[in-house]
Amino acid sequence: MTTLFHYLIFPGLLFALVVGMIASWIERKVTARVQWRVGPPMLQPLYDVMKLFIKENIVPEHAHYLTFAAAPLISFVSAGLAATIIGMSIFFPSSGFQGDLIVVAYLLVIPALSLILGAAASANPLASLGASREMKMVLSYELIFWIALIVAWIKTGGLLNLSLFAVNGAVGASVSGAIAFALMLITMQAKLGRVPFDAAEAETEISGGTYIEYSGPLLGFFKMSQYIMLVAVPALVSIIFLGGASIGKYVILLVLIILAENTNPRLKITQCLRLFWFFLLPVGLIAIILATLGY
Amino acid sequence: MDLLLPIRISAALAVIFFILPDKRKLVVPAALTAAISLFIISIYSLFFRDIAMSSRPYFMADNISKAVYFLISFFGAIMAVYSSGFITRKLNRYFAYFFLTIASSLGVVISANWLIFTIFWGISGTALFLMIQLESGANAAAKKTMIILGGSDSLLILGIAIIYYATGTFTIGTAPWSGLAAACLLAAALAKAGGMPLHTWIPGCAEKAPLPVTAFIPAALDKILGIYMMTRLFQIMRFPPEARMAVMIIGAITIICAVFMALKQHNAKKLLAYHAVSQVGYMILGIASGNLLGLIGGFFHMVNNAIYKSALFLGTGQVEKTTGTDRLEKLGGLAKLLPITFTSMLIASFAISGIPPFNGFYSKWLIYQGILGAKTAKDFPLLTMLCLLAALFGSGLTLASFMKLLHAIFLGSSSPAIGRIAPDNREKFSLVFPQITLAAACILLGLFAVNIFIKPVFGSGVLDEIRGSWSPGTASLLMIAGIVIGLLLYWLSGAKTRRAGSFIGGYKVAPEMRVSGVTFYASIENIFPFRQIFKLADKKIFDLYEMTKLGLFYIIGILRYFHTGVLSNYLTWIFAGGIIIFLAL
Repeated sequence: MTTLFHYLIFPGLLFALVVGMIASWIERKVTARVQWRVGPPMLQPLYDVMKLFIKENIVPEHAHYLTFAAAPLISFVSAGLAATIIGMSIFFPSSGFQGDLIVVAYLLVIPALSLILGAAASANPLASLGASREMKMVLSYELIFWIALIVAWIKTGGLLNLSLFAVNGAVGASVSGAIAFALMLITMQAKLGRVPFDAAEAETEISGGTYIEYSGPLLGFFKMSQYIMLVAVPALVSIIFLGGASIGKYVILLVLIILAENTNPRLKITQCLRLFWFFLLPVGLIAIILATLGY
Repeated sequence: MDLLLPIRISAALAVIFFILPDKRKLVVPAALTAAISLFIISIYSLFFRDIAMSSRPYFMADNISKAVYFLISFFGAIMAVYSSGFITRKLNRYFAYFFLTIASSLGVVISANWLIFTIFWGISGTALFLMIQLESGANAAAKKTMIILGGSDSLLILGIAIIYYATGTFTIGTAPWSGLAAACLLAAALAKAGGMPLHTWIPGCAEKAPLPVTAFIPAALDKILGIYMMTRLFQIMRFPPEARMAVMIIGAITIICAVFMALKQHNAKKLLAYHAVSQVGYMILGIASGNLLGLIGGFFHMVNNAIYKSALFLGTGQVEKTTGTDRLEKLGGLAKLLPITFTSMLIASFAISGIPPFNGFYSKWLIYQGILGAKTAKDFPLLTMLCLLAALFGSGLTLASFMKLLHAIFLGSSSPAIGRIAPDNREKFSLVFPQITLAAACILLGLFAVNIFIKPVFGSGVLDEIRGSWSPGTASLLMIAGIVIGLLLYWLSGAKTRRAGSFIGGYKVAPEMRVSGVTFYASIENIFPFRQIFKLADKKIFDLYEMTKLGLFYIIGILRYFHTGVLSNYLTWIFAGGIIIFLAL
C-alpha cells in the first residue's frame, strides 16, 4: 500500500506531474520573456491538459486502434515509474535497490518507444517519418548517454545505486566528470525532445510528426508524460553528476535547457546523428580514457 | 527411468519416422503424440525421479544440465506443434531429423565425458545439415553450415586431445589452463552458438532453410548447446585476465557488428538471424566476465534468447505463411489481420530489446552488473568499460531494428502488394499456440525470474550478492495500477472517439506516400563510414568462410594450370621430376 502511495502520489505520478507543470510554466514564461512577450499564467499547463481531456478523440481510420490508444498510457505510467524510483532515492535514500540506475535508464526509454509505436500505428505517412526520426534520435543520444554514465561509473567504482551517488560526492567535479557532465547536458536536451533536437516533431516541416494524429485525452497523456520527463531527466542528471538533487540544482539545469532551446535552430536528423556519433563520441571516449587514468 | 530414457526414445523415434511413409494424416498425429509424450517423460524423469546419475560413469546432471535439459525438451514439444502446421513436404524425413536433433542435444548436456560429448555434438550438427537441405534450393546454405560446424568440430577434437594430454582422462572436469585448448574449444562453442567471426552460416541458413528449422536449431538449440559448453569451459579452466578480456572483446564486437548488419536488412528472416548472432555477444560478455552475476546473467540470457528469438521466428513464419513473402517492403499494416502474431512479436521484440519488465531486461541487467564487477576490470579498465558500452548501446540498436521490423510488417499503412488473404491462410491454432506459449514465457520469466529460474538453478544463496533486487512484479503491478487510474481519468473525462481520415496538412493520402519501415535507417546507411562498410559487407569481405573459400580457390586455380589434360605435358612433368630426383640423389 505504501508502495502504491509512493507511486501514485509522492514522489511518483502526481508529485512529478505537479512539479513538471510548474517547470513547464517556467519554461514558457522564460521563453516568452526572451521573445519580449508576457507569457502564460502559472496554471496554463494545467488548463492545457484539462482542455485536452474534454476534447474529442480522433483516431485515424486505418490506425491499429489498440496500439494507438495504449501508447500514450504506457508512456505516462512508465515515465511515472522512473520518476518514482528517482524520487524515492532523493526523499527516502534507504529505499533504493542495487542496479536501480540501470532500471531507471531503461524506463526512461519507454516514453520514446511508445511514441514511436503509437505514431507507427496511426498509419499516417508523416507520423511514420516522425517515428523514424525519433528512433534515430534515440540511437544518437543513447550512445552518449551511456558514455557519460560509464564515466560516472569509473569515477565512483561502479556505483549502481542512485541514493549512493549523493553520499559519494559530485562526479562532475573532476576533469573527465566535467566532460561527461557537458555531454550529459546535450543528451538531456535530446532526451527531452527540446530544440535543437526536435526533428521528430518539427511542426513547421512535418506538422508534429509523431504527434500528428493524436488529439484529446490521448494527447493529454503524452503531454503529462512530457511534464514528468521534464522533472525526471534533469533530476537523474543532477543526482549522478552534481552529487544529489536539490531545488537549486534542478532550476539551474532547467534554465540551461530553456536557454539552449531558445538560442538554437533545429538540427536535421542526419546532423544530429553526425553530431552525436562522430563529434561527441570521440570526446566521450577521451573522457573515458581520462577517467580510467584517474583524472 | 532416468535422464537417458528420453534420449533413447527420441533416437528410436528418429528411426521410426525415417521408415514411416510420407502421409500427412499419419505422420502429423504420430509426431505430435510422440513429441508431447517425450516432453512429459522428460519432465517426469527430471523432477519426480531423484535418480543417482553418479552411478553412471559417463553422464552427469547438475542443476545447469537439468535446466538446459528441460529447455531442450520444452522446445522440442513447442516446435513439433508448430512444424506440424508449417511443414508440408517430406514430413517423415523432417520429423526423423527432428527427433535425432533432440536426442543428440539432450545427450550433449548430460554427458560427463568428452568423447560422448563430441559424438552427440557432431550428430546434432549433422542433423542440422540434413534438416536444412530438406528445402529445395538450400544446398549451398546447408553445405556452408556443415563446413563451418564440421570444421569447428575438428577444433573441438583437437582441444579435447590437448586436455587429455594434460590430464590423462576424458572426464569433463577441472583442467589446467592451456591457451590452445581453450581457443579450440571456444571456437567450437562460438561456431555452434554463432559468435563472430564464425557466425556466417546463420544468416544463410535462416534465409534458405525451412522456417521451423531456423527457429528450432540456430535460434534456440544451437545457442543453448554452444553457451552451455562455454559455461562448462569457464567452469573447468581458470582463465587468466588476458584471455577473459580477449573473449569479452569478441563478445562486444559480435554485439555491435551483427546489430548494425541487422539494421539494414530488407528480409525479415535475415534481420532476425543477425540478431541471433548479436545476442550471443551478451551471453559471451556475461559468462566471460567471471563475475557471478555476469555468469547467471549470461546463462539466463541464453534461456531468454532462445525463447524470444524463436517466438520472433515463429511470428515471421506466420506472416510468410499468410502473405507468401518475407520481404519487408512488400508487407505492412498486418496487425489487424494477424492480431495474435502481432501481440506475441511485440512482446518478444520488447524482450529482446531489454524493455522492463520483460525477461530480456532482467538478464541484461544482471550482465551489466557482471561486467562492472568483471575480473578484468582491474587489469584492463578501459577495455572492460568499452565492452560495457558496446553492450549498453547494442541494446538501443536492437530496439531500433525491431521498431523497423514491427513498423514494416504490422504497422504503418497496409501494403498494396498484399492482395486479399484467403481465410484459411490466417492464424491457425498449430501456428499460434507455440507463439502464445513463448510470449507468455517471456512475461513470466521477466516477472518471476528469481523464483522460477535463478533460485532453482543457481541456489538461493547467490542472491545475497544483490542487496535489494529489482522486483519486476511490483513494478508491473504499479504500472497496471497507473494504467487503471489513466483509464479512469479517460472515462471520467467523457471524451468521445471519432474515426477520421489521416491528416497530412490538408493533402489527400496517396498510395505512393506510404512509408515502409524498410527505409527507417536509410540516412544511417548513407553516411560516411557506414556506406563504405556496408558495401564491403555486401561483398562478403568480412565472411571468414567466403574469404577462406576464395583463398582456396585461388590456390586451386594455380594448380589447375598444370592439369591441362594433355598427356604429353604430364609425361614432360614426370620426366622433369625424375631428372630432378636423379640429380638430387
